[in-house]
Amino acid sequence: MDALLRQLVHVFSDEVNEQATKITELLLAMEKDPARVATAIEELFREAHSLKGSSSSLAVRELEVLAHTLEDVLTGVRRGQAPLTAVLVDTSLKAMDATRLRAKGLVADSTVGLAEVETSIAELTALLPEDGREVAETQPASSPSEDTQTATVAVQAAIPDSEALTVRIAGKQLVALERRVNELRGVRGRLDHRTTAATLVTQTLERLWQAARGEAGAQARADLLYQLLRLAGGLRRDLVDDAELVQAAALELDEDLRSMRMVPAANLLETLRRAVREACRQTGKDAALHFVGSDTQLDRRLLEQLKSPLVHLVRNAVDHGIEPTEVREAVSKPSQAVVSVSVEQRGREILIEVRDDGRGIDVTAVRENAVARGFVTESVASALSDEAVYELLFRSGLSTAETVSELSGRGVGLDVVRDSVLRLHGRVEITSVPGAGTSIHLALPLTVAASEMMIIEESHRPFALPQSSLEQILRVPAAELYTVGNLTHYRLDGHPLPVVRLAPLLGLVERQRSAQKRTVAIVRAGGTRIALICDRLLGTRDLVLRPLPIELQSLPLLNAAAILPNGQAVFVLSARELIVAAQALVPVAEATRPKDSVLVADDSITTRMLLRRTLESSGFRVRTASDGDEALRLALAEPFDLVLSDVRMPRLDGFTLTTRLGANSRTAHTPVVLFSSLDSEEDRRRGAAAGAKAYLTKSAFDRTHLVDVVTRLIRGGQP
Amino acid sequence: MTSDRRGVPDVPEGERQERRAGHIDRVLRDRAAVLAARDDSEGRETEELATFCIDGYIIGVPVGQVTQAATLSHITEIPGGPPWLIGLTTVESGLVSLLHLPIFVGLPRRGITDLVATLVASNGERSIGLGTDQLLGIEDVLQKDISTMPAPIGAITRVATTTRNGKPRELLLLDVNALFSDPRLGRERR
Repeated sequence: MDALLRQLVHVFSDEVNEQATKITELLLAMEKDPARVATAIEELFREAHSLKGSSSSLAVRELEVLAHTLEDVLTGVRRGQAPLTAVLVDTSLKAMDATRLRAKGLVADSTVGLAEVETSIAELTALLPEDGREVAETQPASSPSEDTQTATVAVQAAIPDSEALTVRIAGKQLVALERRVNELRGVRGRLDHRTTAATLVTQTLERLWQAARGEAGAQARADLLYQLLRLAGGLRRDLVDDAELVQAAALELDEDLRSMRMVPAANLLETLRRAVREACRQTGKDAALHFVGSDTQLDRRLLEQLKSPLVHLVRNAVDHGIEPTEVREAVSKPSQAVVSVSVEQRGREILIEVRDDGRGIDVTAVRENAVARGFVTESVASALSDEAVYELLFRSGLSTAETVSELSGRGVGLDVVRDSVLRLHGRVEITSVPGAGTSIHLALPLTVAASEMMIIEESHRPFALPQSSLEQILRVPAAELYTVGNLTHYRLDGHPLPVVRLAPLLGLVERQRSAQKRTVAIVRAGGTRIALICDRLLGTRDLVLRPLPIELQSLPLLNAAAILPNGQAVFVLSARELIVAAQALVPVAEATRPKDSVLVADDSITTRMLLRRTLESSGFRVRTASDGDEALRLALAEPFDLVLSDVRMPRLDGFTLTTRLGANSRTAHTPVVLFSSLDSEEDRRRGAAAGAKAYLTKSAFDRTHLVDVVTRLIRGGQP
Repeated sequence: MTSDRRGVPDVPEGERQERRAGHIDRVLRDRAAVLAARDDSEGRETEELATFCIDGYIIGVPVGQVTQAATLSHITEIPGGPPWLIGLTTVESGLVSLLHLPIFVGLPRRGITDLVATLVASNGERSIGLGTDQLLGIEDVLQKDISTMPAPIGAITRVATTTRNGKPRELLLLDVNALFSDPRLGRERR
């Protein structure tokens, strides 16, 4: 590739794409309304000429020749000597597709699209009258022309002031900027965290100062503490001020960046128009696309990921939804059907509706189809509501089409549409009125950069659920959960909802619940709802979602990951997969025998995790403490069947913990096992003297042995 | 020709750059010659390894395949994850899985690990965090002390016998490319 082209290829590619899009729109407009030909063809020639000029200046000869040939082919139309035929439009549209493909190829410094461009040139040339072909096959003039000079003057005259200036930004620069915003967001969260810590320090110092003031002869100490308190207070105030400044800067930057990412929904128009046009051509039907909300601003990445599902939906509407012309006329409908696409922003959501005025969904046919394919039994099918029948259409392999058409009736599609929407943390629903048409409603988050998540806690671990998949959060009295057979239910708005606990879905051991009320999240995906019981809610957060590392991508319940303000990684759960897993799981009744509980104390997070995993997988309920002091407080606050403790820990060591537990009447009978890397005889002797029932060493750690010792001690036996 | 304030004759910038480049070239050539002479004569070719300790094993990773080293502050457990994946953690605003290498390759357990840090290993395309009980540092290990294992243990394909503080020790060398080619670490699904 030419050195200059290498430097400019991204800009050139953007420009070529814009020109090809404009030419496509003009071709479609002229075809739809021949009265517009006279004005639109001039505009089209200007675009084609620009395409030729920019290609020529960067020595992209194939696109230069293609643009030149397109001009030749359309010259007859421009002069009013030839009609704009369907073949002419088709071939020109195909040429624009090839142009866009070649632009991609140039960016990738590959030959992608070259063959397509050459084919298009040949096909356009074939449409020329015999005497015109020679012109197309010669190289277009590339000497400095009158146009070039005019263009230079125009640019100089049109230099706008800086605020109105539009600049192109390379995608990677935008990504880098987004990364900075994400980092800033992280800093903001950490500052919040530190401000809280500073507040605690100040409060503690204040208590110390108050205490010191009262002691006789302690004035000097109190003065020092007072100075320290003032310093800490000042530091905390500074932190609060800085956190507010960072927050304001992050919000502004985020908003600026968001607006830079936004593009009007009109960018979808050309693609959808072509999809409808081609579907009509293939099915012999007649339909027009009505697009409402073309000014609505969409996140560029959202728009890119929505294109394909929307194309599928409009093709579906033509192929399955609308009736053939003669049928429409027979039922007194306009012969030309309408496929309408509306896009609007409502709050933090983008709502898109794809509607047709066709025959509506034949629920009887879908029921029969579902039974024939073994998705449901006949008795279940007949009991399904219309809404539940529509949901069946999102299953792979099921179609509304009575016959499989080449276009979209292969039963592959709506499931893919739903997957695309769910991946964007949106939702999709169908409504239909027999004889009047079908609507597909998509609801998507405003932006794909950061998503609003509900952070929940289950078995002491945080998880994130997309707000878009949460219908509501309830505190439900345990008495309102009822069991039918072996299924727990909760009646919401008069409808029974299956209730499942999150812990077993995730393979975690659930905490024993003593509270009278349960925290229940009503989760929805693809029209199905379940009630999920979790330990507690930690609040909502705007989180930047990150793809899972490859080695975790086979875990179906995990959709993505994010970083919480305190720096901890959190998994984003897939609402859809949770529902699938819940449907496969037989919910455990609320009242089960309490599990044996073990309190694990160790200052090493790894050891705590290892011990917790080991014990939980053997059916124990486990609480953890990161030092002896915390363990003592927990043990005095709630009963445990056994305490498993490290020896060397901050604040309170394992020996002292054991002694204190033994000295308190509430914990005197709780067996203590010491688990340490210290394995001298002296250490073992000290452990026994403190009252430990067993002494295990980390260097000889064996899971089976640990579980065996713990089980035997809880059952009242010897280790 | 003029001179600067130190009395050094002014040299045109282009010429100055050429001289500087020539000087650097000369230094590099001299250093290469010294290294080559030493390597040839004394058999002192070395391999630079980032070394760490886990579960009682000392592991070495070629420095060129280590992108980051960090202490661990949070580890998020992976629900439903395999036993050799300790969790997910953040390293410099990024997310990496933490691999327990001895469990992954099937080395016999030697007690309990106490993870404090991670070394992020990369093959240029993907990265993974290696859980460590202790980061030991960067070591130049003599090639003559490194041997290929007749029966590799998973991605541990070579071993070095070295001495530290006068005591002999065995250093297991991780082949990062072999690690990522293990199908258990998956291929891109979505």
